[in-house]
Amino acid sequence: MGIVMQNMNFDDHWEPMEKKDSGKKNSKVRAFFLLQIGLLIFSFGGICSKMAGKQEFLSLGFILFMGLLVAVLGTYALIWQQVLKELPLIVAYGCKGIIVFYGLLWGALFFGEQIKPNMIIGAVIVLIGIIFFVKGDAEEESREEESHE
Amino acid sequence: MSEVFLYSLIYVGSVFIGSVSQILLKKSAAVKHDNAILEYLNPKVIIAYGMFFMSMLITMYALKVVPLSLGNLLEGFGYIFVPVLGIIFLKEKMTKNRLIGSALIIIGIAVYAVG
Repeated sequence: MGIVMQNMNFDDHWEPMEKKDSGKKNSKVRAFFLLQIGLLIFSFGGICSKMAGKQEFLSLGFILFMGLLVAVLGTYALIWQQVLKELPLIVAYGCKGIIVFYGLLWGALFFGEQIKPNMIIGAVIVLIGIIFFVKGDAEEESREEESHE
Repeated sequence: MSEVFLYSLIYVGSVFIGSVSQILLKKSAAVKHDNAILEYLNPKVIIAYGMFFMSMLITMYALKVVPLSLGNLLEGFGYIFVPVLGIIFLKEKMTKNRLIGSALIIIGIAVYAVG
């Protein structure tokens, strides 16, 4: 019995609630940060597929950009799965809307695409929508913390 | 029924398949796996990415008729499907802010695409 008691680590079981909550908050912040990196990487997929589309089918350029596209999507898939471990799907998917903004930016920067006023207005509305998702998540978390107390 | 409408329905179907695949991914992420490789190589994730790939192929097929601007607009259905499926199958909550956020993203995509 004494040996069993010696081997038990009570700190694991009686971790203060405050410490647990701040750990949870930190992992959520990390997940949001990781999500943004993942979405930025995902947005590069658009550039790769557009560049691939400009090359002759099965040419070296085509294969190179398609390979890059697969690498981009694979990296994004690895990150997305880690993000889903921490964030609700509804929130993570909502944040995906930022792709609209990146699409606009890359289109103008790399392909000289014309930006119309409605595109800017639309992208801004999408960004405001994402802020609501992130804000809502933070508020829900603080409500959960209050209910713990 | 016009051809564009029919292909738009196919497009929306592909968005739905993609949304279902997200539910499977989240279901897999919610389970604690023995090691990092099993987090990715398990039936749920494999089926989910299979569905995701299928949805990409259907989207490409639909885009043969559906104009790209309309296609971008139809992608907005994902912001309806994913929350609804998330509430039903993952018991996630749709708070007021998330509802407003979804509505704004859909409106934003519509404004962006229809110009």
